[in-house]
Amino acid sequence: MNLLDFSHSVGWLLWIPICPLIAGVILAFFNPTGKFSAIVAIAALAVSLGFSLKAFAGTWGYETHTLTHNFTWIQIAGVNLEFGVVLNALTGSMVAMVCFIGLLIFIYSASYMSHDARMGRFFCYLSIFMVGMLGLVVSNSLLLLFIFWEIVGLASYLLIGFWFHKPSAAAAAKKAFITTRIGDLGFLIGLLWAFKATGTFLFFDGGSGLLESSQIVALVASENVLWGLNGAGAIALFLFIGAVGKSGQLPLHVWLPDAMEGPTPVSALIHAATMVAAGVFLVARAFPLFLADEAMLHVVSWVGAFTALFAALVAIAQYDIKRILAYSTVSQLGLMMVGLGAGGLALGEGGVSIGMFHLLTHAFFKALLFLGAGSIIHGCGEEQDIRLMGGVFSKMKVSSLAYLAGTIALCAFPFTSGFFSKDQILLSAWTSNSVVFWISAFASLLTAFYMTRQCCYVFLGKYRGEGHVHESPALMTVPLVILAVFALIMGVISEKKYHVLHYLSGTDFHQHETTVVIISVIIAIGGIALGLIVYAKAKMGIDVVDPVKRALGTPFTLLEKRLLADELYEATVFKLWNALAINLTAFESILNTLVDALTAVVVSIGNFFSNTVDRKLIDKVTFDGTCTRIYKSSRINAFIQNGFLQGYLRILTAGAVVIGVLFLVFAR
Amino acid sequence: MISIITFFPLLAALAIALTPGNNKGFIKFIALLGALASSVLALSLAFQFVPGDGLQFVQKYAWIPSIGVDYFVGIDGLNMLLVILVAILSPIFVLASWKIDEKAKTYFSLLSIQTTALYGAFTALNFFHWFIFWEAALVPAFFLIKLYGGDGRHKAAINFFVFTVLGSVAMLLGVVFLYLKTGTFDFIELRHLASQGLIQVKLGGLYPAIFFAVALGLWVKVPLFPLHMWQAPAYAEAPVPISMILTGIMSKMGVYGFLRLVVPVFPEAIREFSELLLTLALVTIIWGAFLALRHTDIKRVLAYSSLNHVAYCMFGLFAVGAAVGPDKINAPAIAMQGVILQMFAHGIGAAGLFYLAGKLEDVSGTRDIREFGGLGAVMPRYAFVFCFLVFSSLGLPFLAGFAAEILIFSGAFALAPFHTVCALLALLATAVFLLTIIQRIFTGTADDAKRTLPDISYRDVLYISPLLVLTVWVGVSPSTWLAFSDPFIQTLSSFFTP
Repeated sequence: MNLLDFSHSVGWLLWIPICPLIAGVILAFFNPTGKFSAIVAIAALAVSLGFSLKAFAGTWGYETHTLTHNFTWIQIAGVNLEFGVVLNALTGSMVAMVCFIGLLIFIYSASYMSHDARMGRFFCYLSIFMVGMLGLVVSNSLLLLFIFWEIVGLASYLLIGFWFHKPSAAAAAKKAFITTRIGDLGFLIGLLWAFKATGTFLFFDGGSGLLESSQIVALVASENVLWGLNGAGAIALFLFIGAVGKSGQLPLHVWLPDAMEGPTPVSALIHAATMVAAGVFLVARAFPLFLADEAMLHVVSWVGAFTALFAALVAIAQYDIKRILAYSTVSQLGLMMVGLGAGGLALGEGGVSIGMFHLLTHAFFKALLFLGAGSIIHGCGEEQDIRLMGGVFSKMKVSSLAYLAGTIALCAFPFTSGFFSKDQILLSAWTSNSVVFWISAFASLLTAFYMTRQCCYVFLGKYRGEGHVHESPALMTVPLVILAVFALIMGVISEKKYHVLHYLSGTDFHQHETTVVIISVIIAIGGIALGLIVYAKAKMGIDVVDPVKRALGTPFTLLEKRLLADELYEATVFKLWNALAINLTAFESILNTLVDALTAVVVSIGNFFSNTVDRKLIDKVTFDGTCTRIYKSSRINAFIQNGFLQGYLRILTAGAVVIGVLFLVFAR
Repeated sequence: MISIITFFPLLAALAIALTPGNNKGFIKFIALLGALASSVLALSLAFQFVPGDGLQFVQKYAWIPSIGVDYFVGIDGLNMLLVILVAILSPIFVLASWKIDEKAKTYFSLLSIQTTALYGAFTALNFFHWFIFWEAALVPAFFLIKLYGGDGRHKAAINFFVFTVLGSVAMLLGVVFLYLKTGTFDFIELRHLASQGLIQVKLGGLYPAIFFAVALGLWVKVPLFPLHMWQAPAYAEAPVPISMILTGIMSKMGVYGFLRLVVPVFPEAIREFSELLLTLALVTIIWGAFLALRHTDIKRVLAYSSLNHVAYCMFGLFAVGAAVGPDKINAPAIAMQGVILQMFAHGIGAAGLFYLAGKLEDVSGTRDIREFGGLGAVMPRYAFVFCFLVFSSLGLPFLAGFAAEILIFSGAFALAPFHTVCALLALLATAVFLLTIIQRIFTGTADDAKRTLPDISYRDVLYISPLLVLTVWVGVSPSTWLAFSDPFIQTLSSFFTP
C-alpha cells in the first residue's frame, strides 16, 4: 500500500476513532480490573496511532490536497443527512498529535491510577474520550463533528466527576457540562443554520460542500442577515460560540479551572492538550466561513486577546498548582484564537496555520506541565497548594527538569517550541491590529512571570509540607522526558527542516519581523527575570503574604478571587434562573388550586346526575361520553366502598369481550 | 390480523377474570402470554410491512352503515412505529407488574384490557371506532390508578378522569359536527377531502372552532400547557407500570391523534395558528423543564420531564405550519419524521426511567431525591442503566433522543428559527435538571441507611434490556425506523410545501 497514493478512498480514517471504541466497549462490558484494562486501552490507542501516522505521512508534502469519504446517515424525503471523513493537513497533524500525546498519557495513567479500584472504568472513560476527540478531528460533516463534540463533552463530564464521592468533583463535572453546553447550543444553532442555508452538512463534497467556494460565495451574497454579518459570518458566529464554550474563552471560561477536580492525567489530556483545543480546531476547520466575513475575524481575535489577558492576570494570584496551569491554558487558548483571527486578517487562508501551530506546540508543553505537576503532587503526598511545597527540585530531579523544560517553552523562551509559535501569533497581530498585539504581548509577559513565580514556590527553598517527597516511577517519568524533548526541539526542527506553518497552510509565507522577534525575546526573558527578582529570595509559605500581594493589596485579592467571575454569574444568571423556576412553580400551584375546584364542581354535577336523574334515562343516551363517564366514576366510587368491585369488573371485562366478539361478527 | 392482535389481550383478560380461585402465578402467566402473543404478531406485521404511503393489512367492514360507521383498521407509515412501540412495551408492563399480588386478578385483567385499547387506538381508522378505543384506554387506567396508586391516588385519578373526559367531549362534538357537514367518520376520506380544500369550504366560518374543539381533546392527552395539570399527579401516584403506560404510550396517543386527525384534516388551521400553537408548545417545553428542576419527588420530576419531551414532538409538528414554501431541505418532512422518531424514542426511554424509579422506591421506600446521595458506589449497575437512559433523554449522540431531536430541530429551525432558538435554550434547562437528578442520587457518599441497599438484579435489567438495546439502535441507525414512515410523511408534508 502506498501511503502517498491519494487516489484511493480514505474510509480507513474511521478506524482511528473505532479502535478506542472497541476498547471502550470491552472495558464497559467486562470491566476488568487493574493492569489488564490499561493494556487494552493502550493497545487500541497504539493501533489508532499507527493509522494516525499513516494519515500524517500521507499529508506530509501534500498540504493542499483534501480527500474525503462520505456516506448517508439518514435520508428523509430525498434529503440526505450525511457523514464523512476528510484527510488533509489539518486532520493529519491533529490526529497524530492527539494519538501520540494520548498514548503517553495513557501510559502515565497506568501508573498514576494504579491504586484506584475503579481503574477499569477510568480507562473506559478515557477510551470514550479518545473516540470523541479523534472522531471530531477526522469528521467531514458538521453534524458528525457535533456528535463527536458532544461525546467528548460526556467523557469530560464523566472524568471530571470520576471521584464522584467528592461533592466538589460532582459539582465541577456538572458545571463543566452545563457551561460547555451553553456553547454547544450556539454550535447547534450554527449547524442548523448551515443546513438550512446550504442543504448540506459536509465540509468538502466535490465542490458543493459547506466550505467550498460555490457555497461560500452564495452565503456571502446574502448580506446583513444578522447584526451586520453576512450568511457565512452568521454561521461562523454561532460556531464560534461553541468554540468559546469548549475552549474556555470569556465569558464561558468558568468551568475549566474547576475541572481540575478530575484526576491529573485527565487534566493533562482533556483540559490542556486536546479537548479544550477542540474549540480552536473547530474555528480552524470552519476557517473559510470566518474568512468570508472580516468582522468575525475581528471578533475571534478580540475575544482571544481579552481571554489571554484575563486568565494570565488571574493566574498570578492562584496557589493551587493545577489551577495556575488551568488559567494558563485558558490564556494560551486565547492566544490561539488571536492567532486564528489576526492570522486570518493578516494572511487570509494561510492564517489558519498560525493558530494551529501554537495549538500543536502548546499541546506538548502543557501536557508535559500537567503530567509533571501530577508527578510532583504525587511526590508531595497529594498536596496541590504551592505554598506547601518548596525544595522539590533536589528530591525529584527528573520530574523537575522536565517541568522546567515545559515552563520555558510556555514562557516562550528563545528557541523552545513555544517561542516560535507565539512569535508568529504576535507577528500576525502586529500587522493586523496593534491593540490586540499589545494585549497579547502583555499577557505573554504575565505568562512568563506567573510561571516563574510558580517554579520558585515549588522548587526553591525548603520543603514546607509534611509528606515525604519522592520521585515517581519510570512509567510516569519516561513520558515526561519524551514530552520535554518535543517541547524543546519541535520549533527548531520545524524552523530548520520543513516548516509546520508551510505544512498546515500549503503556502510558503512564513517569515520573521525583527521588531517582533526582539519584543518576543524581551517579553520572555523580562517576565522570567521579573519573577526571579520578586520570588527567588522571597519568604514563602502558607501563612506568609505573597510578595506581590504585599505590594498590590486589594487588586491582588480580586485576582485571588478570580476577578469574581463566579460570583457575577451567581448574582445574575443563577438568580434569574432560580427566580424563573420558583415563579413557574408558584404559578403551577395556583393552577392546581383552580383545577381542584373545577374537579369538585364536575364531580358534584356527576353525583347530582347519578343520584337524582333517572339512571335508565342516562343509560339510553350512552352516546354522550361525559355523562356516562362521570356517572360511572361516581358509581364506581360507590362500588369500591361497597366492596362490589370484583364483581363489577368481572362484568365489565365480560362485557368488553362480548362487544369485541360482536365487532368481529358484525364486521363479517 | 390486526383484529387478532388487538383482541388477544382482551381474551387473556377474559380468561383471567374467569379463572377460578386466586392462582397468582397462573394469572400473571396468562397476562404475559396475552401480551406476548400480540407482540409477536405485531412485530411480524412490521416485517411484512412495505414502506409506502398507502394502507396495509386493511380490514374494513360496515358496522353501523346508517351513520357511516365502519369497523376499519389498517396500518400505514404513520402508525406502524407506534404499533411496534406498543408491541415492545406491553410485555414489559406485565413484567414490571410481577410483584403485584394484591387483587392480582383485577389488576391483570385491567392491564390486559388496557393493552387491547392501546392497539385499537393506534390502528382504528374510522373516528367512531377509534373513539371507542380512545375512551376505553382511559377506563382501565383510571381504575388502576385509583385502586393501586400511591397516597394521593384518589385525587389524581379523578383529576385525570375529568380532564380527559372534558377534552374528549369537546373532540366528540367537533367530530360529530364534522360528520354532519361531510358525511364521513373515515380518517382517510377526511384527509382526501382536506387535500382538495373541501373541509374548509364545508365548515365555513366554524372551521377554526371545530379545529380547536378537536384539538382540545388531543391537547389534554398529550398534554400541552395549560391543560397539563392532571399529568404530574397522575404519573406520580399511579403504580409504576401504569406510569410507564401513561408516559410511554398514552401521551403518544395525543400526538398520534394530531398527526392522524388534525394535521391532514385541518392543515389550513395549523398554518393559520402556527404562531400561537408554537408558542404554547414552547411554553410547555420550558414549563416542564423548570418544574422538573424544582420538584424532588422522582416520579414527579420524570413526569415533568415527560411533559417537556413530548412537547418537543408538538413543537416539531406545529413548526410545519410555519412553512412558507419549498426549501432546500424539505424541512416539514424532516420535522415530522423527527416527531415520529421522538414519539418512539421517548416511549422507550421514559418507560425505562419510570421503571427504574419504581425499583428505587421498592428498595428504599422513598421517592424523594433529597434523601439519596452516593448511590453510584452502592448500586453501580443501577447507576449505569439509569444514567444511560438519562443521557438518551438529554440528547446525547448515538442514543435515541439525539437522533429524534436533531431532526425536529433541523426541520423546525428552517421553518420557525426564532421559536426554535428559544426551544434550544430550554434544552439547557433540560440538561440542568437531568444532571441534577444524577448528582443528587448518585454522587457524594451514602448515609448509613442507604449504604446497604441492594443493587438492581440482573433479572430486572433483563426485563428492560430491549429498551436499552433500542435506545442505541435508534440512536445509531435511525434509518431503520424512519424507513416505515418516510413515504407517508413525504406525502403529508407536501400539504405544506406547495
